[in-house]
Amino acid sequence: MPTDKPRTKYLRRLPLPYATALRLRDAGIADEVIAERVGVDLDALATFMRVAEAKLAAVAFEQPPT
Amino acid sequence: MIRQWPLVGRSEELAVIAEATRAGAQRARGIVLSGSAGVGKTRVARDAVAGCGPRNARRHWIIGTASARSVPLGAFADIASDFGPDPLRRVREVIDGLIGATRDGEVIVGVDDAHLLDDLSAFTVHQLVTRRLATVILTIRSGEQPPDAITAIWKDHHLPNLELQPLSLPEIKDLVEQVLGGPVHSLCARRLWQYTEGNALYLRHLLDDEVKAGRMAQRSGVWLWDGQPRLSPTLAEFVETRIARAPRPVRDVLDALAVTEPLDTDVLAAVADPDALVEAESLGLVRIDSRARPATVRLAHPMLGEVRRTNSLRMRRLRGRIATELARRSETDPRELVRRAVLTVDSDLAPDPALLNAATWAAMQLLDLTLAETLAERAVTAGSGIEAKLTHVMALTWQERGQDAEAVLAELADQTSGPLRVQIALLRALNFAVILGQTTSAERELDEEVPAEDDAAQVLASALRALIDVVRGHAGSAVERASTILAGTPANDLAQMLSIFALVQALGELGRIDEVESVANSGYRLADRSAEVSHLRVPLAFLHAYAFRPAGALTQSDATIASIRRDTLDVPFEGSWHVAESWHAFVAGLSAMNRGSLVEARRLSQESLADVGSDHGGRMRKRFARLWLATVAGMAGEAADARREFTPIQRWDADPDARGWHAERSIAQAWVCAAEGAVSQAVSIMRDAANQERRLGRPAWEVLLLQTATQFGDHTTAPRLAELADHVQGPRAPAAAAHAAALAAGNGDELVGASRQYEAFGDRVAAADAAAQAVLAYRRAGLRGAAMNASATIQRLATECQGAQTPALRAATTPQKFTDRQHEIISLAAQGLSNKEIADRLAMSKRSVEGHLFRASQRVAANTREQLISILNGG
Repeated sequence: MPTDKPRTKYLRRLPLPYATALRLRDAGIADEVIAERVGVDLDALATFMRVAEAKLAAVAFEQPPT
Repeated sequence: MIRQWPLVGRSEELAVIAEATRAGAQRARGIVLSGSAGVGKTRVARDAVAGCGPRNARRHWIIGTASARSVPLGAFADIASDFGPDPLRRVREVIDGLIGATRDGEVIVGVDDAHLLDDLSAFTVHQLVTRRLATVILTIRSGEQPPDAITAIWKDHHLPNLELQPLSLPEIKDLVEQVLGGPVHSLCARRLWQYTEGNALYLRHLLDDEVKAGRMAQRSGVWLWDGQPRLSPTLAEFVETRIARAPRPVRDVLDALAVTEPLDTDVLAAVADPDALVEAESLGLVRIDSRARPATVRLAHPMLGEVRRTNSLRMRRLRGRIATELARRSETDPRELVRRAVLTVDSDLAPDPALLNAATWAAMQLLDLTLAETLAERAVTAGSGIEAKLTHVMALTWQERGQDAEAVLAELADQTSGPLRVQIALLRALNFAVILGQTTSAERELDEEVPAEDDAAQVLASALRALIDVVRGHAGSAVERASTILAGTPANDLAQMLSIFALVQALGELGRIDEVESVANSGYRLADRSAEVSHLRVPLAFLHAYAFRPAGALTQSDATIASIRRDTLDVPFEGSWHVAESWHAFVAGLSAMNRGSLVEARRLSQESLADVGSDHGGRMRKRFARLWLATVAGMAGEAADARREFTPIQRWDADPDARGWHAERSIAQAWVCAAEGAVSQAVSIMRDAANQERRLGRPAWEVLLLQTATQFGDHTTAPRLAELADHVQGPRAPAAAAHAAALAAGNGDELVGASRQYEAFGDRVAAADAAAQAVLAYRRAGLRGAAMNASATIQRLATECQGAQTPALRAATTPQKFTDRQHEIISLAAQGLSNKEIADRLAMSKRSVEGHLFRASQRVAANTREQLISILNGG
């Protein structure tokens, strides 16, 4: 899991909906709100978040903190 | 273009799908892929169906369509068509058809557009999933109402639902580059991304059309899109279907925004129904930004505008109404002025020469020189007369389209006399001196056409003479002349700005870099307060950054480049992006070359060339960028590329008096020769060029030229560099002097010291060369440990330089089988030169060349020329 500062940097490289969802979850926002904000069905949110985390990890892997 | 588009940016999705289709016996296998039209669901689903399960699995691909929806089990017509009367039995037959009667192997079923399935087909899919009869991969378009049986599949958690998102900018760039098979200009990639909103299907249609129409084309090795797409019929259909659902008043709102956007809500309310605006927003067709006061409205997607934009009488009238409405608000912002003029041009209103003239200047101020040119042409047609013609010439000149500007000016010169002819002479001299580099013609215009008693014209003429001095390499007199003009604080802003141009450049060439900053800052202040010269802040910024190059003040140079970036990044007027961005790539390329980031420097220089449309435009930028490309290719040891970039430059530099531009050209030429292996020729080019700079009195350039000669192994540069180090400011002169002294003395430690000095100010190629020479010096002195340490340094620096391959690095890193002279001659032979050609190139006799080749052959026991070449290349 990337530490906070690089995480912010990596989030900027993600497609916007994933970055938004991760930021909202980091801020402790409820799933219903996240789902509504990113326009995803609440039942699809769990899978969506898994993809988001995987994409974040991929960005972190490609671009280690400088 | 490749037919089968690669799947880009979906690795994580495919991993999730792979897991869902691998699920064990406890739960159903498969996944629901949802997302908007064109996002790539079908492609991902097809790949998943093909890739999951065992190799011998039975695979089916079912498609839901609007037409088959009315037929029960219509989607499965190919699977089983001979049904009995019982609906449930029919379902069983379809299932049997899908999985086979024996049920002895795994079955994968892909269902595309499952939201379009009829109820019975949906029920069949539901059965396949819930009874775990097959692995099922479904696609569903977001926002549609699928049959309940399909919704239940993920609502009841039988299968996970993965909502596919549009591709991000890096993913779109990667995809386009793979499809086109070459690098894409970063800004074009951004525009493609913005235009398609990351939608793979839109991108595919758009790319197909734009490549076929030649609007997306490769220039200087980089794919470039002119950014003015026309919609293909298929793409237009997508968008029109969406709009067709909206009522007429909403379409009126879209039409107004198709004409120009953003529009303030109050302007929009004057030309369309305010209630329709609210409805347009709720339908997702427009976006309202309420942070501004009044709120501003934009189309939700640029393609909405494309399909509505026509040149019908209705739209022309609408443009006229909006232009009239905007005029009522008496805005002073140059952007509003330009917008109003552009609207008027394509409207039912009568052309307004005064508005067009004012808007031409405003467009120049906004750096949109192409638009300025168009508006000026319209002003001429509208009868604005000579004033518009002169503005037109300015727009051409500042686009560096010297030949085009001269064509207009020559015609005007023949038709005019008196004060107008003087004005034309001044413009012509500016174009000749600065853009075309024809100093004699520039001077002739000033001498013959500007009367001595015309004080106002003489100030501008004087500023132009200072620029002519710069172009001729007379930095000292340029400083004197420009300082005198500026001391008198001339009322003419252009004269002031041109004097500042001359002064900034000449001070850099003299190595008086401490004075550069304050002069440049006075230019920026002038640009801030004067609309007439505000567009010149960008060329000033380039001269400012470039002035630091010879002295090696790279930190200051980079700070200037960063500030140009800030100033031009958000130039808000549409259409000027290419000007701002290619300038940015251009100056960033300068920085990368100064610092030896060779790959980066090549990419940026290519990008800066890519947008230079016509053969005549961007002359100076093109010249510099090609020189830098030749230089960095030479530094990377890529002889053929370096020569290819360099060759056209020789043709362009027609005026022998324009010596001010020779230093950079000589550097490029020397690096080309060095890459070809003709190192002694590279050294002599540098020595000759340094001598010319000495005669001209441009010590900062002399330092850089002598430094480059030293990098090539010239042992004779130390005394002159020691003299120069005393009066040339900046870090390069002392570093080069230390380098030259250390090389002459063959002192490894001092060469390492010089390498550190170069590295400290950022010239990493010179740092690598000095370290490479240190390795050789240590080896000659038998200091193997020190040689190894220095070798580690050169390895690090060569990597940081992104693959530098200079003569010094080659000598230090590859075993030397030949003497330097033999190496040089065999390198040229390797490029196919005959002995006579080699002799001519290296200024020696043919017999000497033959002698060197003979001794080289004896040395390595080679019998033929080809063997010698092969041994040189490591064979």
